Amino acid sequence: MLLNLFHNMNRFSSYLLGLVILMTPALCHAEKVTVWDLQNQATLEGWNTVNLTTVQLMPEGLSITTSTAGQLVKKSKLRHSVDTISTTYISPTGGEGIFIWRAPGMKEEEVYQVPVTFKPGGTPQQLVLNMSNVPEWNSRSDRIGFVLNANIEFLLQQMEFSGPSTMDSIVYSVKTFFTLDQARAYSINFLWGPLRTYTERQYTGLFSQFPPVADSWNTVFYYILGIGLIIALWRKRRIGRKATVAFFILFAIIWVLYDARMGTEIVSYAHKDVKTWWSQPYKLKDYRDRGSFAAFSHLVTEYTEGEENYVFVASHGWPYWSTLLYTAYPSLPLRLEEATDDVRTWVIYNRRDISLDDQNRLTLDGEPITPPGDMMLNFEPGSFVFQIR
Amino acid sequence: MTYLWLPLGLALPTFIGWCVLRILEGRTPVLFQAERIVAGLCVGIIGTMFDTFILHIVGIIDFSLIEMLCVQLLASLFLGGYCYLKRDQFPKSPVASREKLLPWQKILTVIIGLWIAAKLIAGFIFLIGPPYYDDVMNNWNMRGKAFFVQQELILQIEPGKDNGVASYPQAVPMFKTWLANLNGEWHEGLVNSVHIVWYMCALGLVFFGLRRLVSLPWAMLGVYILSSIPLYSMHGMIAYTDLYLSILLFLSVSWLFFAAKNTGAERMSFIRIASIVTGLLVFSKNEALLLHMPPIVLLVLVTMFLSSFTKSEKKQTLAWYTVLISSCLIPWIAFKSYFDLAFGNAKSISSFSIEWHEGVLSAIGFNTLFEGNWGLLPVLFVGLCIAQWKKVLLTPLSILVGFVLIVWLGQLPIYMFTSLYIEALNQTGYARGLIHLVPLVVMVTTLLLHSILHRKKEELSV
Repeated sequence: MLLNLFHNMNRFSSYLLGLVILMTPALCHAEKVTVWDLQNQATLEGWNTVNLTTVQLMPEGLSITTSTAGQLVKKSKLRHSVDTISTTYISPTGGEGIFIWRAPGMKEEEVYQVPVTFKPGGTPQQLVLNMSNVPEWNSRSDRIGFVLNANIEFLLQQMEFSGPSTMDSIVYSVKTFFTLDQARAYSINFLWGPLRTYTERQYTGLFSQFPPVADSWNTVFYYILGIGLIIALWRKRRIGRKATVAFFILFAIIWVLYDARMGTEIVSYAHKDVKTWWSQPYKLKDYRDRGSFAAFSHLVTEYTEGEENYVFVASHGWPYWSTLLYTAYPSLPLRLEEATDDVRTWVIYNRRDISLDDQNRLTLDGEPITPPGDMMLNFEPGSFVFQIR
Repeated sequence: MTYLWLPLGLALPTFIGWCVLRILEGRTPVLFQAERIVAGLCVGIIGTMFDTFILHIVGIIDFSLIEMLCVQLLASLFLGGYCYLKRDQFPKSPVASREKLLPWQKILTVIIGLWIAAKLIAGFIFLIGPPYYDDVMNNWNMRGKAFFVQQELILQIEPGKDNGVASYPQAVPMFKTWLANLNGEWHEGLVNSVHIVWYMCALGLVFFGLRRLVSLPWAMLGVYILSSIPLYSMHGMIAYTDLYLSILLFLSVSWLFFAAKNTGAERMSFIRIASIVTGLLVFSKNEALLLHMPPIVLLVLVTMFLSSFTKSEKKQTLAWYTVLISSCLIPWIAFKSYFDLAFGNAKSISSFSIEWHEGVLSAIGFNTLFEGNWGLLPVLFVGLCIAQWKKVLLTPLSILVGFVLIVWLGQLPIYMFTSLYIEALNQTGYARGLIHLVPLVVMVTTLLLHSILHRKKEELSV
């Protein structure tokens, strides 16, 4: 009887496998779409309204008028990634509003918001929001809706939430796993680690935004390990220690994969340093995300040496001030407003608004700020060392 | 050529550290020969710098090459001479049992060894570049350079301006001063290069610690686990002091653990060497005084009672810890009080107001579980502790786990209720607090993995 059951189960598994194989291409190419359709609905489920003057469910959709600003929000249970939200509406008056959502972890009264405009017209219009560039957007938000400004007539017909296809999600998730961050100021405190994106746009712009618009691969690993653990505990009764060993082999495989990914990132930091710093002449040296400043600050010390103070003016305070304070120590920097006549050396970085006039004085917005002097180091446009005669 | 000053600069402090450990072990050596050299390097640096600091603040020496060298030469002469005279009473160090690796283990060792070597080379290249990270420029290297240039301990880099780092201990900046003195000028690569040495020391000390308990492949597994923790590797290639503190904590707590596991003379050897590291902790980073020393003292007291110390052992343990902690703590607190330097890390503890801060726990959870900082270590560590809870609670492993949990969980209220919450939200402070615990966590993880996966014949033994 057991054999029979086993045989039947095997046959069932084969059918299931066949079905999965046949359906896979269709599943993989299908975009994930959720539609909230308000047309021809008998009841209004899951929607909450606040301060709307009239709310009426009609065959054409949800009809709303406002005399003061009001809110229309639906309890959301989207369970797939969403990068585009298309809202179909008719608004004879048109008007302004705000698209709002409450991301997981936010307080009851907090929401993220994006301003939107409803075009006036008597025919259905579409408001398309591309959310893939909005870092705060999270499709797992539990409240999604609109705030409508005063004096709007509005018929909401449908909201459509579409995300990348399963295939895109898989492909870009895998590609992003191998996409390495660069060494940055935050790398001493945290590393993003392997991330998942789902669209080409998210993938190509991965580390250009802070924080990156992506999920952590750790979640996937935790799911795999969780399932592995459940199977191991289930199988332990039958095969004993082998189940435990198998689970830890699974753990080890993921661990090694993780280490390969993160170790490669660390090696790539050094590789970039060699390529952009160590192998370049000073004029061409770039250092991580600080550009030419590291090379500049190194060359500057020749002119600050022996000086008690120098004036330092740069496009930004951080990180230039502390870097030069350290590099040129014991000579100490002074700000422009602290400059006095007995300070000879002026160090200017990335300030094209500071230049030499025809009397060899430094000028800021055309006004002289130093007595005549000489250009000691002309590093690049806007970056130089000047010494008063 | 410049980098040759690194081994030369390390030689005397390492010798001093080696002698101190060897003398404290006395007639019952408990450390492996190589382990004592590696531990001697770590203990010697902070010990030598502490002596130099004391002699400096009482006005006997300045921070010139000759005077720093004199301190080290005199200490070497005194301690080395003592070791030489007592050489007949010092038995040979214990030796780990020789084991042959299976062919697949050898291949795996070569592959992992090459991989770690690649990361070390990359780390070295990354480390010796121009200054980049904030606390390198504002604190650790800045103060070292200021001491080197001024040839004395100064508290204000810019006269009249407090940049908030004066209250930090000076061990690491002073060692950089020492290296710069040897080289004759400040060299960014040279003064930073000691950090990669510390990273290698951490790998080595975890290996030796494990080797005392488990077979060669398992000890190597522990080294691999530590080398594969991404943020810990970053701290090996950036000139901050957190990794160095993690080593000192590892020595202090793991040696207490070994004291609990052993009995008699071996126990007391471990107690003596653990107590000196515990004492010196205060001179590494401010957190050591506030966050680490209290739990260590608590664990020492608990260990004495739970690990059946004899009356004499209890007395000796209390005496050693009291004397060695006091001899470091009292001068350090006196110095801080005299110059009105803040207690606390980054912010004075007296400035803390207590209120609940939203979002801290989720930021901490995200940092711990969903970033690339720790790989899968937190899940593995916690999972193994739960799976092996009896072993964790009822054996000396509770010392290691207890320390990790006290410090880890103890930090949470600091971030949740004080103005330091911003360090958790911005992820600038919390992860560094975990860096201090990583070697201990790796040791526990490896031991628990061993306990689950080892075959019966390979029993855990000391």
